[in-house]
Amino acid sequence: MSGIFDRITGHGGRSSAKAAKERLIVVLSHDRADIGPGLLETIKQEIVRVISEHIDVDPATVQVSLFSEGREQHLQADIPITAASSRRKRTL
Amino acid sequence: MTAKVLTITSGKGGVGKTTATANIGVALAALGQKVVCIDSDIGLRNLDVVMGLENRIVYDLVDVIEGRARLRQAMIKDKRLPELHMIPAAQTRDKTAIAPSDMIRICDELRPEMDWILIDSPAGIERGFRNAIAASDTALIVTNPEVSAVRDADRIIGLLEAEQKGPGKLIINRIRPELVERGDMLETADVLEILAVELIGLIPEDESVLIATNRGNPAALEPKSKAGQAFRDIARRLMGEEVPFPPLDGTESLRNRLSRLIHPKGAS
Ligand SMILES: Nc1ncnc2c1ncn2[C@@H]1O[C@H](COP(=O)(O)OP(=O)(O)OP(=O)(O)O)[C@@H](O)[C@H]1O
Ligand SMILES: [Mg+2]
Repeated sequence: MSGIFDRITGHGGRSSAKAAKERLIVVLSHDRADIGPGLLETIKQEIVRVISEHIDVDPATVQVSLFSEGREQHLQADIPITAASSRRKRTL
Repeated sequence: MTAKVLTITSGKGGVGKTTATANIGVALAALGQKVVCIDSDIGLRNLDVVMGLENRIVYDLVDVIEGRARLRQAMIKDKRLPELHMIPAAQTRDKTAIAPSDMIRICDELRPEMDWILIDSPAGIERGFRNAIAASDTALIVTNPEVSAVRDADRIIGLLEAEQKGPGKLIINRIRPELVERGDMLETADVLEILAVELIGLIPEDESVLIATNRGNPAALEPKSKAGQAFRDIARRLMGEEVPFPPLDGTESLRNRLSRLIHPKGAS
């Protein structure tokens, strides 16, 4: 039901207002923390380097991002760990 | 009597600070409050014409600060509303002609005589902004439902926090319900979620604002003006009244309209 309304009201698909909201959320989290995309990438590489000294991680799967809770900024790192079985194979 | 000092500010230019200052000033005075509106946009004086008081200027804010005039001499009394006053900015000087300490001194002198002191801030985040917030008790942040205006409002909110001037209250101006309805204008709920600040006013885009400004007769004096009504609502909220926000976004009205089409008997 809401699907019909969304199509009629233009909320379905990617309305420009949705795009505006998503872009604002990203740009404001960088503005507020004064951390640009470049610095975020550097932080990610450093994290990968340190973690890799202990366990295997695939840099391509690591995500470092900023998010807001109210007006508070958080730095968030998501580091998927390579399965233990494949880790063992590689250490052989 | 101890006035509350409200600074109307925005970061981005042209979003409606001067319009808001004039209209909220008028609306508060119409409620019987003693109000003075101060134009702190030195070099770009505008509040005088928006309020329709440009022909009565003798002295300005900088004349007072530099001792050429007394505060009373620079304060113009509005003839429409006896409790309304305005102090114009200097037109031929720049922001460096006043300092934050001057604004504090002037507001301290005015506080005992007034209920409200409204300061119209210039655009930007530099000297003019610092002057405008120096004496402020509460900042009213004006924005438009548009990416760059919201971004700049966020910057201002951050600066206000850093200056211990509180989070401020938000006015979203120039809302176009038909664009919100079709998903091409940010919804109020989204702006509030992004900025995480208290809302005090929702003002529609309204040609009566332009007409009012042409005449120098703020829209808040116009009983039929939608924007005028929205500014009067802000004044009542400032007075502590709980005034509901009418669903300007139009989303609800559209849904009602559609469900009436689908269920003509009203059995939605
Ligand atoms: N709700 C509205 N509906 C229609 N027009 C509006 C509305 N609010 C403001 N305007 C118009 O937008 C223009 C800019 O408004 P205003 O001068 O109040 O902005 P400002 O923030 O004070 O600008 P500046 O940063 O230059 O001082 C004016 O022409 C004004 O009439
Ligand atoms: Mg202005």
